[in-house]
Amino acid sequence: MATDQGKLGNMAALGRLAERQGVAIPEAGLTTFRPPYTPVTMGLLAGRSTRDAGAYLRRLALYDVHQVKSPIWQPLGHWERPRAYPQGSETLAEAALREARCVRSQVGMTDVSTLAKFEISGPDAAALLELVCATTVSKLAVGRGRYTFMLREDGFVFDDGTVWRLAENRYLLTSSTGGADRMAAHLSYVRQYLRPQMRVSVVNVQEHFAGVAMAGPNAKAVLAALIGAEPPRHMSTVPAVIAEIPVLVLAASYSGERAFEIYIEASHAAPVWAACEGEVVRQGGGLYGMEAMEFLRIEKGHLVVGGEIDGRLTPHDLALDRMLNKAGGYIGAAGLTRPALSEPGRRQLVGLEAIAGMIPEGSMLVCREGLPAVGHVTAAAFRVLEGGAIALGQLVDGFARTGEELIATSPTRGQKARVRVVAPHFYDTAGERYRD
Amino acid sequence: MTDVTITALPAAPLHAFEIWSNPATVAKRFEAVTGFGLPPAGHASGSDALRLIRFEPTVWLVEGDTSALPAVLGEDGALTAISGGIVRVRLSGPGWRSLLMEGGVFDAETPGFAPGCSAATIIDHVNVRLHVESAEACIAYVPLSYAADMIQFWKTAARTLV
Repeated sequence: MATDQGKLGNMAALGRLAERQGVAIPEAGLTTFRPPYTPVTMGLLAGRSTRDAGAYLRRLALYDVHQVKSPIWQPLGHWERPRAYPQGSETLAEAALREARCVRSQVGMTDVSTLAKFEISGPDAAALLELVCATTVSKLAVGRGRYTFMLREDGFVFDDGTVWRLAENRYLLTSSTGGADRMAAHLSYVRQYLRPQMRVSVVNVQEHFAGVAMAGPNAKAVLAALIGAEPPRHMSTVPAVIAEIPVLVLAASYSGERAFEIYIEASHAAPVWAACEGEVVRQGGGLYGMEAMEFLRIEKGHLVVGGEIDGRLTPHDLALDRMLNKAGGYIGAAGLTRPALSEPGRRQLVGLEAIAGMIPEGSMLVCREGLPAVGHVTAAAFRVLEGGAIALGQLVDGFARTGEELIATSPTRGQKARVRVVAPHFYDTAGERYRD
Repeated sequence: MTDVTITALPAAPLHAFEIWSNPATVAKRFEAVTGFGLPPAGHASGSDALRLIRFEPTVWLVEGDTSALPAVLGEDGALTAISGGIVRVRLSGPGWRSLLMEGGVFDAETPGFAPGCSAATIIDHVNVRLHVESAEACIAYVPLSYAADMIQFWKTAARTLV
């Protein structure tokens, strides 16, 4: 029955059998009815243009607000998100580069509502989080947050995000948009099966909160004007009010600039978005979409789930091992001790800069033409202000190959570029732009 | 066209009420404060001021004024706001049961699905919670991101049903 789960082929086969016997289908006999109960159309199996064939694309709380600006929409993890907001005759690349430069030089704002979000509360909330997250959590002071990542039981990184201590026994955990359903299932498994005795509540608030991110050298001034108070320092959180609506402000950055995420109950998102956009524009900024966000995060060397975090790399492979909770106890800690995970020959995260040409995204990395691939490009972009092609990639023994020259080649597209292996951070390696 | 009216209700406070320990004691405290018991699986109880629907084995969806509930829970559970992510849709009129038979497999026409009952099911790929408000109306709790398409689906289905 394969991909149609018997919903199409089954009925055709039963019809043929019944015809041969000269009886009606029910008389010929029916197979056992089993999930998925909702029929799957051939259109859904055919590809992404499935608007009327399969499940609906999920709609942002601020969909109508974006739509009036005629963005280029991008399907992402069952959602549609604005990819860029072209002006005039701008192409996608031109619009994205303008938006990214605005973030680097002034301030930009974007919709981050689709991020996975979980509110975790109760006396055992920190204990549950220290099981799910491979970093420490319990040492966070109230009002503080940190970057974190999660491992499967085999020790491989499968998602990342941030964790915030909102009150003594109440935390907010964010993780990737595309991995949101998987993370919800994982948390439920941990809560219900691994630790049913814990006094903790895990509630999926992905849709409860809409999110606005603003980033750039002017972001702090924009936020100060909006909330009428000193914005929180990097990796701190405060409750505030914008446009008479209660909001939660998290000072976190994906772009590499001083940045804030503002979370609002989704049904009240529109007036907060309007107030933020008004102030951003007043201070010389504008909107940015997913494409600009991708340029910014690649330049900063931040990871994305599905690209760099593809379920095959360990914390060490991703240079995250220094953040591991030294006390252990997290899911995946035992898996990480397997000797094979620390042997030479593993793929590791590297940066790549073009010596000549554009770096084809998804291309293979080879030492010379005709030799087997030793890695691949996970994401390619430009240096936002200076220009020049850069990329992130996975490379066998990559940490020891800094300075080596390789070829990034995509035979199917007929594209290739000479690249040099560098550290996977192209912008503000000291993290000074986060600070005030 | 079937006789059903589809109405998106205004946003209202919704919370997840979860008990992790001493459920019997919490249930007694709850009844003492509210005057009605926690509803069992597949049921709702309360009034327009405060209604609870059994959501999961240890979780209830609360609609209305929750000001007394933190004290009821004490150290035995938590109350978490979730209203931003849910749109309430009232399906009213004689045809609401026929409408709910479209695009899913839940038997909304069974007499057992009576006023006060609740259910969780999939309709046209969307996870939907149902609460039978009265013989003439059912409230559907739909995820915000799917609400516009779900309402459109129901409006289209209502036009084609006889």
